[in-house]
Amino acid sequence: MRRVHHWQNYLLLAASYFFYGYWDWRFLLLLWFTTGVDYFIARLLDSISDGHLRRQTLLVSILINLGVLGFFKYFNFFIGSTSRLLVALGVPVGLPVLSVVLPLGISFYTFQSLGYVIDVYRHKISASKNLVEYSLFVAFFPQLVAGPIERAGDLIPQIQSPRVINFEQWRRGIAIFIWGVWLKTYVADGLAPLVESVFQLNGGPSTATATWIGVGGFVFQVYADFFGYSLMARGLANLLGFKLSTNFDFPLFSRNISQFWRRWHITLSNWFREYVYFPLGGSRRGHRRTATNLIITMVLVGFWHGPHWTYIVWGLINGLGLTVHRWWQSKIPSAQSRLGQYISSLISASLTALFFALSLIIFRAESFTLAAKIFSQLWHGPWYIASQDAAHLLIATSRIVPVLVIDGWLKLKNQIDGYADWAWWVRPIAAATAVYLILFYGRQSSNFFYFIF
Amino acid sequence: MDDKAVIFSISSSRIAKIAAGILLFLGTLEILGRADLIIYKASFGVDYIPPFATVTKDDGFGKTTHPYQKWRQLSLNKYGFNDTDDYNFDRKPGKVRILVLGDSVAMGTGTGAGDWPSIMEKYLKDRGYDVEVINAAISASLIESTVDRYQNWEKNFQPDIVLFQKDARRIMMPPDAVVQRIWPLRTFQKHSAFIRKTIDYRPEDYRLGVIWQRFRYGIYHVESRLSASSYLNYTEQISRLYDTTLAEQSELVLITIPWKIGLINIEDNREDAAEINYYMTWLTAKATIVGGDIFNNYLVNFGKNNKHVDTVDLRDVIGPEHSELFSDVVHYRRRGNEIVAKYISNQIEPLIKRYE
Repeated sequence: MRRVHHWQNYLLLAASYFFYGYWDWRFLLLLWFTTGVDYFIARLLDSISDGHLRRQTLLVSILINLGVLGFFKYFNFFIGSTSRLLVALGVPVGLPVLSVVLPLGISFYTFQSLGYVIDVYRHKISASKNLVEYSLFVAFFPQLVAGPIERAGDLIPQIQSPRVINFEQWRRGIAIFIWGVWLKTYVADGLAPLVESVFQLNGGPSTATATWIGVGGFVFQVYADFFGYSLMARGLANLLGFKLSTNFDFPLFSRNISQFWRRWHITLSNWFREYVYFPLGGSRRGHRRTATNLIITMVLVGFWHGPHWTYIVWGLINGLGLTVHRWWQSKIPSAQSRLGQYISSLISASLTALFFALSLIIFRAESFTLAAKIFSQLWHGPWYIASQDAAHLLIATSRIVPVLVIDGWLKLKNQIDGYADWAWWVRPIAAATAVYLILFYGRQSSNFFYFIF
Repeated sequence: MDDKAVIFSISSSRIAKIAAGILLFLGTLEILGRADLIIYKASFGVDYIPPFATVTKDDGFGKTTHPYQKWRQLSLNKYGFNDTDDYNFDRKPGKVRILVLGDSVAMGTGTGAGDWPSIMEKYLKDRGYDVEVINAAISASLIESTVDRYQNWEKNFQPDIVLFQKDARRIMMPPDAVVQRIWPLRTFQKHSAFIRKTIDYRPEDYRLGVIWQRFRYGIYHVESRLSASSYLNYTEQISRLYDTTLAEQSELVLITIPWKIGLINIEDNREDAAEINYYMTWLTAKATIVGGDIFNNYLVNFGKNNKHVDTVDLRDVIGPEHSELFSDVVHYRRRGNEIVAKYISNQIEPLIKRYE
């Protein structure tokens, strides 16, 4: 059995490298470099007892990982920003610009590998002694390019142990996968045209109605796109006998921004909480320091998404939102009656969704100028429904309403994996409906939104 | 993990549930498909014309031509247009330049009976107008990619008048796949062979056929369905085209596409409708017959509501009542091309006078 399991790991690793190399084989070298460096540094950390030396060894890993990430993802950003600053100061210089494609999934696998080294440093796990197993942990193809960012303590033991695949796992895997494809092709890609018409570079619609539909549509597009991918990854992993982490926990029903960030892109939020926010001191060093830590963490979360000032400002806004919420929470007493709680929950959830939707304008817009224009259109555009807006509205309603209704039901039942946990006779009906909508009403898109990160 | 662990296991007690599940799955697909047709009727007021059960497979299709169709080798210039001339971009003073954007109907493929733009050019010259017509129509090209190309071409061609004629199927996504896949074949014969290939892969059950085609040749047929998003896409592409012609100070003329099977006579032409179903999938037929008219109406309204754009509604001169003018369900015979060319040239004459 164990021998079979080892061969499974070899096969999975080869498949993962083929999957990644199929896009561009040259970036496999980068993946191997990150894997090799962290594997040996973790082994080294396990063999060193001197605290100072361990810290320095960890620092080497952090510098190498962030150095590679910074070089490929952020080099041009820093060069461009420095050039603009020098020009503003009256020192025109021609700094070199790097012409390189962003390696697919580099932010995801770098953070996963770095998290592993930090966990070894903290003695939370032992360093893996098998290079194939560790390589598979970094390159496991269902989650390689867009997460979930797995903790080594969760995934490596699954790689090390023989896996049992039974009918129940397959059934769940297929159900979860179909659910993910439905979210991606029917919801996210279906909403794409109306979102693009708002966020296009050369203008966008002029009515406030169309802008609100586009902005609201983007919230559901990005949710369904990324959640859909995460579900597909979970479903595929299930088929292979693995269990990946949940990345979304009905974030659109969050009653405040803190709750939202515990439910949206959970594995990334957890990574930053564990390896950035807590080391900064978390919430244990007074209100001011907590606020500073929150803002620093969220700015870095924004910056993780890409080398643009819009992402940084988006992170900053969310950091400020979290800070204000902490302050607000301590000032406002919670409602006592059931009706009061219900109403306050409804208002809180609506305000949270609105806050996130508005912050996403900056996230999605190519520039601050465009973001400002869209903000302006939200409030100052005409409020009639043009014929094109009616078509937009029809598309948006046919995508958003099912997501809200189904997510509401799933949340009520606490069923995180879509219809996979519904009654045996309801599942095929749900699957057929999803397949029908995917085939006849889904749109084809070549990309996932989170692939660019 | 103990040694008794197996790689895959399934208990025999589940088999009945699996069978019931498969039945429920297929039954739901069927119910949704039928519901779709009911919604279709409620939306458009006509029955959807027959599923493939009523269609007899024609083994000769792709090997022999339609009675009115002829094999014809086309000569293409470097742009892929039906022309031997690579064009001179220099504008001659006083000469009115007309650019035709379209698909096979304007290009003249599919019938062997010539193309209406060249006939129209002859008519206009006979009437004494100094015009040159550039027929930039490309068979099976999509609206989106056509507008993309036009936005690049116009800097060179600098047309005074742009004529646009494309049917509802040309809103397919993604934009360039069809042209890439079909156009290199270049001849009608090879084009038909391609379509035949898709039909060969179609099982008798139409819905499974559609699903299969989606995976095998999905882009060509199924993506062209009529839906809110395709309608939206269509309207957006027309707006893009209009914005481009406005920016270049060209006049835009939108030309509708009448079908041999019109909306009015759809119930009386079951054989021809079956033929459409045979050539395409039921979803494509839905887009072409009903969607075609909806999109045609959109063009007419667009012409009424905007400046510097006119509409020539060919449904006024050719349609289901003139089936003798069609070589198949949409392409014209020689006589049909002449009538269309004459009607369009009459309609755009006032515009040409303005540019002279």
